[in-house]
Amino acid sequence: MQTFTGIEYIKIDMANQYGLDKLTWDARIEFITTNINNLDTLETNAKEPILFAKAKRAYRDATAKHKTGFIMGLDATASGIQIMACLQGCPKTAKQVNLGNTGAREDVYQVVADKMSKIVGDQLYKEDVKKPVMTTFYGSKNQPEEAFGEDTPELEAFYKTLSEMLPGAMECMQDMQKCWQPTVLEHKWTLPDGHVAKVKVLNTVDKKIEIDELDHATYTHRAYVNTPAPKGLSLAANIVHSIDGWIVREQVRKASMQGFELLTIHDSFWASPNFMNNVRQNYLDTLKEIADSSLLEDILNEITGLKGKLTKLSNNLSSTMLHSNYALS
Amino acid sequence: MNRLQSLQRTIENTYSRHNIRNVIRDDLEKSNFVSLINSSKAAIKEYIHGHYYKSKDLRINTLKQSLIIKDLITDIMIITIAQDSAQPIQAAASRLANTLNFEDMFDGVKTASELLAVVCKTNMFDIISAQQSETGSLMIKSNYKLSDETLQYIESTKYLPPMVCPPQPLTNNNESGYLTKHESVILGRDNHHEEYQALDVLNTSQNIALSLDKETLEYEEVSKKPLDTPEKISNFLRIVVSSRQVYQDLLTQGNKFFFTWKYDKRGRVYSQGYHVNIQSTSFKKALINLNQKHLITGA
Repeated sequence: MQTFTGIEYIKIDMANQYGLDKLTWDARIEFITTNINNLDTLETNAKEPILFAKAKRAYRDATAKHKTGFIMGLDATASGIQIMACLQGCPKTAKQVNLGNTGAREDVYQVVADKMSKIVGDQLYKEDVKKPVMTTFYGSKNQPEEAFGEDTPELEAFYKTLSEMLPGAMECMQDMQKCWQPTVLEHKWTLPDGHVAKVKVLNTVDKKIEIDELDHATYTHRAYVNTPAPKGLSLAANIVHSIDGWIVREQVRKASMQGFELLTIHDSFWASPNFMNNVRQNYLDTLKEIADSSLLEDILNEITGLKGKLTKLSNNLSSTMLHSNYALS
Repeated sequence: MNRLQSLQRTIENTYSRHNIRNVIRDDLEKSNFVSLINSSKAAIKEYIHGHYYKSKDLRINTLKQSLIIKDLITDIMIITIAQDSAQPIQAAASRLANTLNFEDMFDGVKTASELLAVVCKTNMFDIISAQQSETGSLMIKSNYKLSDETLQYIESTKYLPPMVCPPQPLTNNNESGYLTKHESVILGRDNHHEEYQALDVLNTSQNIALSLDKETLEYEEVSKKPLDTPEKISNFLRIVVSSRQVYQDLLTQGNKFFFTWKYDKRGRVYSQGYHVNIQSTSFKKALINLNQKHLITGA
């Protein structure tokens, strides 16, 4: 993994807030270095001007040797798909979400849009595919249909693209969805640190309320009632979110052991620029742990009460992740 | 107890629901609502002493078991008068039902709806029929208004600010870190359970001392949503004013504070707070610094 100094990380943060977070690290640093005398001008055109201005002040404090409480964040590049790649040991999926080292900063949504464009012979943009991709891996079928239409060549191209580019993630999502338990009031499983995730099954119930005292006017009251449901689509999202919760906990523990302070916004990790090498390495190490584990099998067995064996697509994914550079970006 | 803990206790008392109720009650009393309260009392008494069909009699018996009419009227006033604009009856009835202790939520909502209809006859508020309402559903619109000061106070005390002293270490699933507030470490009303939750991480996170970035305070806080009605503008301005007050208080108190953190049912972790929270807009993210300063290294 490429490493940087604290001041270089401030430059990276400035470039990110300017809107260049899809460039390579070197290109981001180079952009700011080239424009170092024009930071005030850049600020007015930045995608996030307030955060850019803050990074600019931190840069000036750093070069003037003034201490600062400044923190910056780096975000996972499609954390849900990264987690699924590791759970299933899928090198193809891993490569698309910056868990290989292609030398580039991969953008999975752009790649999906480009590939779909070729199949359907029409230009699609990453904005068109981002939401359908994200929600597909959380079990939604409606969202892709809303975006591309029912039984359309676009929808077919969408699923073909996902199956070819992200096969492990698709398989992982389907494995999780199949474990829905139709007779239970809650699904429960344990994360590697012993933390218990418990998700009640809630069904929507609509009931007409008649008000005698208001000339028998009526309205419909909607409530969520805890009863078993024959089918459910939420298991994949909930399992993946429970794992991203565990990843966050591991990052907080590692940071504390290494003597720095870390704030988290789910898959976005915030610390002093001096510690961003640790932040990136720790995150990658935790994903490698998942790739080396039988975490998916363990969770699905606990949910179903079975002792099934889940065959991963590979057992050596972590070795190909050693030099991943943009797991956080 | 040290100075900061004592200050923290004072802050928590100011933001407590009990205190907010008292402020609203004071405002209502000052506004000479005595006759309105008396006529509401009479209407509710008539309702609860009536004889109806079996299931309704049963519901009203349940209501009577823990009923304090004065508190019920205060609750109805808080739910209706403290609202700036019309609200669907579903929302008002749900909020009122939460105070009525019914086991079956539909019984609670139905009884709450009946109570609202009964009190409506006092002219405290109007219930607009579905045919006449802009939304096409039954709406409640107050005929009275709290003072601007009280409305601002309600907005300012909706959410506790970050703590000015290190939070209390969490030792079980029913603690919050605050000195006087005991609540689940798991978000969501019905999600609490006693199985293992990784409290070590909440304790580590809540011990990180933070500061406001004073330079960011010079920027204007802007709404993410379009402010296309006078109500939206005044609501947003109230939030900005209350946020600015919290920022000012934190600065006056030494500009060192701590978030409390909670899990959702899956174990995702959330910093708590509304006016100051890193899990928020770009402006609010930019407001957060570490209290411990570092000399940034490298070239």
